[in-house]
Order: sequence, then structure tokens, then C-alpha cells
Amino acid sequence: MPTTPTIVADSQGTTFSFAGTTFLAKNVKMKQSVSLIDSSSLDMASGSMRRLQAAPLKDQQEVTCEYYGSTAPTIGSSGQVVCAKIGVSGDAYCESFEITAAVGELIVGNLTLKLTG
Amino acid sequence: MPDAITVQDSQGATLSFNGVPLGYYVSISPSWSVSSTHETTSKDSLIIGRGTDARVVRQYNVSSVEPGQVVVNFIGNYDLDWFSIGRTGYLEVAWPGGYISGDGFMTDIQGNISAGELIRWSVTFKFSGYN
Repeated sequence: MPTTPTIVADSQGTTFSFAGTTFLAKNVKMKQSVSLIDSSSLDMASGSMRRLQAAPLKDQQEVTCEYYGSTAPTIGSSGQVVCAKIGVSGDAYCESFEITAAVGELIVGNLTLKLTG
Repeated sequence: MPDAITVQDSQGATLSFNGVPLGYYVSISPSWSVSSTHETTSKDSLIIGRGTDARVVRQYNVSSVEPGQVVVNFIGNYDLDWFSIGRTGYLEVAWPGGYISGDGFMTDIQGNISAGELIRWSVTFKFSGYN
């Protein structure tokens, strides 16, 4: 008896905007992390695993977007970032961007944002 | 090919105060020092002259060797009842290849409470007699 195949969501239909500007995105990445603090103590036997615990403060959520064109955001500017397809929505700062022009290639930009909350 | 040399590491060090084992210590620093030394000019200094030609001789003063001390760094609020300025007691410290123990008292306690970091305490214990 044939079974219904599992359909995984694809990336098409994704839109990305920051501070009111919509970017022609080719790749959007969202990253969330937390530092780990080493709380190992001397009474632990040699050869045992380090004892780690999550840091009390989380790292900011980071969103990067690779896009076509030479749009240059203002460094340090803040605004709303929205990429509903991957659940990104909130206030963010523009931490960095880069624009690349290469022989035979389209101009592409790369934007890095850090969410504030 | 020579065998790799393995240097002793610090893991497995133990610490107890008045017979009670402690925990959550991340560093133990025993130290000893000489409080003063005699400094005398060499017998030739009067002949050679003053200034850079004079030679100062430093001599170890065996009568003023200070008893040792141990500084212990802890993480967390482990048993704050143990920390008390001037508290006397018997401290025993053992580490791979070494051991020190004796009566003494706590002379310094310092805490560090910083954003995003573990709580840390530093306690200094000075031995009463030479050991």
C-alpha cells in the first residue's frame, strides 16, 4: 500500500526586509547560541569530562542575508527585521555588511544583523 | 622515538577544613616567602668607591622566614558559613605530588559578582607556624 510521502517545506516564497527595505535575498540564515561556562573544579578526577553549564546571559540572535544588488545599509542603524518564513521578526542592529563585485558574476551583498531582544 | 613526557596535572586535589572536606574549589595556591633579607655592602666597597662601583650583597635571613599561606578560589556560594575573617582552624591540602597542613586563620576574603559570570570567592588562609 503506497504511503503518503512527507513533504518538507522548501525555501521558495521567502521575503526579507530590514528597516523598511526589502532585499532580493538569495540566502537567509538565522542563528541562536549560548556560551557555555566551564565550572570544572579541582576535585574532579584527571581524565573526567569538563563540567559545563549555560552562561546566565544568552547571545543575541544573529540574522545574515546574502542578496543581489549593491544596497548598502547604514552601519549601526536599527530597524525591524522580518523574514516570516523562518520565524524572524524583531528589532535589530546592522552590525556589518559587504558588497562583492566579481568578474562574470552578479553583484551580491551580505548583511549581518543582531537582534536586540 | 622518545616516549611522551606526562607532567602531573592538578586534578584530584583535595581540601578540608577542620576535617570537613570542601568542594567547588577551582584553584589552590600555596606560597612561602622570606620577609626580609640583610643587605650589606661588600668589604671592597670602601676601596672601590661610591656609586656604581659599590657592590651590595643580599643575604638570606633565616630568622624571619614567614609561615606559608594558601589562597583558595571557589565558584558559587558554596557553604558561605565556612568563610569568616579571623576564623581559626586546621587546613589540609593535598595535590598530586604534594601536601601541606596546619593550624592557621583566615586573613582575607574577596568575592566577585560580575554580570554574565559565575559567582567567585577567594579566601586566604595563613598558617600559624612554619610548615
